[in-house]
Amino acid sequence: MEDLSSLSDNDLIIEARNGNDPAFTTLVYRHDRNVLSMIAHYCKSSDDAKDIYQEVFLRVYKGLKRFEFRSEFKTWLFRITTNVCLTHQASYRRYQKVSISPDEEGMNPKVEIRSPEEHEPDKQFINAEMKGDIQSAVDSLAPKQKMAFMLKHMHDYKIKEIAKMMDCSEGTIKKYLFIATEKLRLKLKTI
Amino acid sequence: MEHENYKNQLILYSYNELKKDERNEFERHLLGCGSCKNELEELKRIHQLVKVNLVEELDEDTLFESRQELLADIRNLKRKKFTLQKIWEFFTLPSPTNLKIAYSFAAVVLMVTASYFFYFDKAGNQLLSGSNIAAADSKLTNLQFINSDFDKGEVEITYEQIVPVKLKGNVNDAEIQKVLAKSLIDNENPGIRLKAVNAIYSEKRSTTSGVVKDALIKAMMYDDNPGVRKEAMHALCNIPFDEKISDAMIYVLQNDKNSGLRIQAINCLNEKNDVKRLSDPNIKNVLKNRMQEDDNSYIKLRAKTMLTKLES
Repeated sequence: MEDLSSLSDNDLIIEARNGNDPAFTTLVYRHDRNVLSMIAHYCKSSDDAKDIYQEVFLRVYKGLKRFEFRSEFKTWLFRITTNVCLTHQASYRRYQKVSISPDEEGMNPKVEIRSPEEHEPDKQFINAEMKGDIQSAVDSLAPKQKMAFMLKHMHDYKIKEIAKMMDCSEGTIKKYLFIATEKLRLKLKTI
Repeated sequence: MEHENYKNQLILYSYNELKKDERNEFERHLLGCGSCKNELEELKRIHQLVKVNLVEELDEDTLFESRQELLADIRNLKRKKFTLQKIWEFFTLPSPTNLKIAYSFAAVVLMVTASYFFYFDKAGNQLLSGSNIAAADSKLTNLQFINSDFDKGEVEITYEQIVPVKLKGNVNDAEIQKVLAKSLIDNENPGIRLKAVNAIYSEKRSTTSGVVKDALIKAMMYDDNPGVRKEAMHALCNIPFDEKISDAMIYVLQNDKNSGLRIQAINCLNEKNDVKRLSDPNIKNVLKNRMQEDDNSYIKLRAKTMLTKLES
């Protein structure tokens, strides 16, 4: 039996298109850890993460026949993932009651950052609280700014790659990164 | 270049996204600009802060469950597609056989429709006369009066009638299997659920109906009572193994809180020795996970042995 794990993504796609299910499974298992770790930054519960995971890979499964090999499979997969995450976040925000501050995009919740002096002297607690503050600061970014920022920082993609994944120009991604960094710099000043 | 322009390049520099000549020029500027140097340090600190604090361990359980659900969804999708394709072919590719089937189908539809009307007519008469109420040893619940005029002596009522039914037959009869499967899932009394499993498996059989198999799988995975789960697993271990059963066994091995059941699941998987199925990377992951994390040393050892066997 052929060892599917040694095949390239494109070969696996061709196999999967011909009805070879294990080829599709191999393709999924090769990339789904990255997809799930990206999703994890976008939703709070594992149930939501599972829903997004299903949606992403079902879209991939249904769209595999239309894949034209013009970009890498990984780029296409992440483009789908970013779309599903952004759609999910948009609907999540629609139904979330959050306090909204009238900043430039008019949709970022206020983040309250405590000064280090206010923190309890327990190191573990401080770490957990700091982590929470950072998470809130990142969560307060507009969805596309957050997506660009996370792809850059947590997954180390190049601006060019992020532009392809998010289906916009490199200039737009740079703008998102500038704004995101600037906001975080202000919010995390006291940490 | 103006100082402001260099400031704009700071972020790109920190991301290593400047072209070589731009980078060299920026580094020359940095040597003489304390403000840019400080800002760059601050930027690096922020990036580091985010990176270190937001890295999260991948939740292996979520990954495993997502994979299982995806595979199940794809199987359903394929099944649906296959059925639709068959229906389409049936209508688009006429052949003598298809025509015969079409005529038979039409006849069946006609008969079902006729019996439906016949039955309802009868049922209606029965409701009006109420002839079987007094005779039957039945229990009436949810009785409600609608549009009744007591002055004129007219009543219109609705109710649910529970009629005791006695069923006698072989445990292999489809009707009896359906009743047993339903009580295995729905009955509130664990003793009855246990009896249902035992009745289903009171004798060996080569084939098992899908309803019974599904009920056993559900009971093995989700029943509150470990005894019922155990008996359901025992029954499943004794019928022809398939993908659905092995997926359910893997689920128990991964999730059941009762170590006895996890042991029984791994023993059953080992006994079936379905190498092709067990070689699935997903299942291997579960075995690896059990080998490393299970609090029961026997399961750890069993998982290790199975993995070694699969990899040799």
